[in-house]
Amino acid sequence: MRQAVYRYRVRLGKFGDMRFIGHLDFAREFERGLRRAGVPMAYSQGFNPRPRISFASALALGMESEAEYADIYTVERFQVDELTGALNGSLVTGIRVNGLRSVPLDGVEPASAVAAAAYEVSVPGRSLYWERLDSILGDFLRLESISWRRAGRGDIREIDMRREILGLEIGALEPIKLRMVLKAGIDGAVRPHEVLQAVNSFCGSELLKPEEALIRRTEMYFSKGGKLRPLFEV
Amino acid sequence: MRVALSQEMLLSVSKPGRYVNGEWNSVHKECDPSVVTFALAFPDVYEIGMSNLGIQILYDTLNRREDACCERVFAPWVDMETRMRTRGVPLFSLESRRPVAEFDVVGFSVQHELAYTNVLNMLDMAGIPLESSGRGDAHPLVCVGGPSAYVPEPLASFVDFFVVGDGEVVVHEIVDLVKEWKLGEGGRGRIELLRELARVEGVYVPSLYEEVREGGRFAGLLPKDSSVPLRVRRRVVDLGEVDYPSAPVVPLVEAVHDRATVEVFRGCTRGCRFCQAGIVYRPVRELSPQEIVERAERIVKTTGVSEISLASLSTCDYTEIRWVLNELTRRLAPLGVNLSLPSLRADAFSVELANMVQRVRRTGLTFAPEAGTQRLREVINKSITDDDVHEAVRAARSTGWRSVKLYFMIGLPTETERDVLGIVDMVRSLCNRNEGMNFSITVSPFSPKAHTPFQWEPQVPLEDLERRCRSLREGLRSKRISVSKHDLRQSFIETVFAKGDRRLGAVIRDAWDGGCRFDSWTDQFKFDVWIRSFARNRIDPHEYANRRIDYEEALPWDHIDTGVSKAFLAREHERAMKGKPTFDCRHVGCVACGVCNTYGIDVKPAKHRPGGERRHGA
Repeated sequence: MRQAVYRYRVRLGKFGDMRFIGHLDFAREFERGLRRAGVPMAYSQGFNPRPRISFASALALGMESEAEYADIYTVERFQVDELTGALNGSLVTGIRVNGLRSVPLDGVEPASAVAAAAYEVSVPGRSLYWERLDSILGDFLRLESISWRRAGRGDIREIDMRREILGLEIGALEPIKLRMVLKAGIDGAVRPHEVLQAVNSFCGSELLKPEEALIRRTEMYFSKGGKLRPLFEV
Repeated sequence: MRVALSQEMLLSVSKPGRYVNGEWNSVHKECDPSVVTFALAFPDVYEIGMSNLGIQILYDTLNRREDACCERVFAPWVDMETRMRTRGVPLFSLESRRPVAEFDVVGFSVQHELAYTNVLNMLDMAGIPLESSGRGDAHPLVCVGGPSAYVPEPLASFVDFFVVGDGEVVVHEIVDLVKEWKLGEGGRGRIELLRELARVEGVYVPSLYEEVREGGRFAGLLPKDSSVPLRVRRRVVDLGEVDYPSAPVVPLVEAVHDRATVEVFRGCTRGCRFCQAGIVYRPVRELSPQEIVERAERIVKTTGVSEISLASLSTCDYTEIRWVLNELTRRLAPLGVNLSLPSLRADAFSVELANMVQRVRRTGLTFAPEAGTQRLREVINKSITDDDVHEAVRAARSTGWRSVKLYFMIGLPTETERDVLGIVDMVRSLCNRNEGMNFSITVSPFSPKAHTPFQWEPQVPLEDLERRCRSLREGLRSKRISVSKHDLRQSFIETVFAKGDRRLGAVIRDAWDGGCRFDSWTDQFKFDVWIRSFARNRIDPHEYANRRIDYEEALPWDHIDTGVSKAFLAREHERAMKGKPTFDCRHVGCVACGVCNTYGIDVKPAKHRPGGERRHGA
């Protein structure tokens, strides 16, 4: 007899010190959280059965997030509130479920669906150049192409970063907060700190120090009819 | 005051998750000044320390007390050390990020000799004077427990007191005394506290003893006054009677394993003559089968781990192992939780057990024949035969295993070229008879350890060990065999300190000063610095590692009473030289090692469950 399987999409936050935990450690902690919460998981077939959990994307070390998506497959049906509560009672401080919904079993895996991600980037530092920042960013975005060298696995690829920046604006001043929407997924994933570096080299100064910036992923999107929709909407 | 860690700093080091804590089941206490604060220190990186059962046990038992607060501290990796030092960040505890120097007690769990420079480095990073004589009432008490406490002299000048043996009970006696001292009126000094501690069984306060030397050689250790005991007796607990961590801390940064541990028994009486653990954890103390199952189930619930390891020195020897494995597999498999056995005996029975716990994973089985010939195995009292090994490998192959790991030692007492070739013959014939199987061979140099029948034996000189390794490698050249060997020079340094006296403290200090850290990590080990440090102190390391010691000589660890008599060790050494086996007292009868008399213990296996299967003598 085939066991009934249910699929839920979980939207997770990763905050504070948990941003120093790498993706694999984060994924493992989430899996342990499910087990602590007593959620009966569906298991993968094969040599080494694992609970079926699929993440949309690996968050870079050092970033916070409000929107890490994972689909989990269970062998029991749950009320959304009940499952959310159970999970939040079983996760470490700094990892929180902030959204959960039932999704159809046959839908696309989140990792295949993700097309873009939004980030909020807080940059500490002096305010001397901040009034010019708006026009710098404007000029930066008016570039037709931004050639960028990215170290890959054993090689260095040259990409056009401009094509991967879908949005870049100032969200707040003092301390400065930038909002970015960047392409994500299989065909390109520019990272927020790369954008800061590119802006720096564009204006020839260490305007936005990437190592001091606090970066928070705020949403992940899939593309539907040319429009970006949050992954939560399926 | 909390130490500030900047994002920029954490993101510039490898595995920053090592330094931030926040793990599930970690304990965060608000401490008022009357609480005894205990920094539980492990002189290696987070991942290694967090896999140590002793750390979890002490952390748990101390934090059960309302009047104590225990926090963890691990050795910052070299990249983090550099950044902390340049920024003036002192060594801090994980939980509250308080400087370690602000704690009442700093307790190190020291597992081996190659961790000594890390102990010094951590003290220095904490801003605590290295020598105990340089510390005053305002400094923490620095203590050391774990295997290194059995040969305490090399660390004697850096440590206020050692804790010898099982820590579960004695740690509370220590905290009680520290609390009384801390809250006491009239300001009794640190030295009075140390005197009181010295009267606690299992506590050794080295500053109250003086080394006597004759002709440049260690000749004895004398108490400075009559209030301190001549010998310090190891502490022994009953596993079923003491606290155990039912909700161990679940590490967030973990390299390989996602598992928690249930200790099924402590001690081992197989009597392998090279093995220190086989002496200093006697007698065998089994946890009841029911208790094992309950603990495993509880730990799965409280941690969410995907694997439970049944730990001991030789888990297949547990009396009711079959019942326990059946029961646990039945209960845990539906939860997606695996079982693992850390060590297997080389026989078919062990393979059967391995098959019970790992129905799915077929990656590798590990056996330790230790020596290549029957003769040499009789010398070391490793009671397995060539046939056992062949049986084990055949059983493994027929049940789907595709690779086997084998551990051997070279340089064992009485070893000749023939014994080394015996390893080659054994592995080659295993290879020939088991088509399609791969073998990985790990070769470790024998390092004679204190408190074992081989404590009087020298280590074979480095050049000879190298030659024997070469002939092994040549003999085992094959596509299906891979050979790896432990670093011989690391083993040499380890051996020097494993038989060390108090004079070696100066060498450790010099080596640390010369940049030695993480000596057990091959890529960090600086042999030339060690050799220079010996020379600077006019100490010949070969005198410690490569010299045969007379039975009559005073040994720098004679004052540590493990409960096993020196006469027994000498008898065992003589039997070894004659190639006579000594049987496991669990199966045959008392071998008069002395431990049961010392502790007034009657050794019996864990209670059999009605209807439970019983495995008969191995």
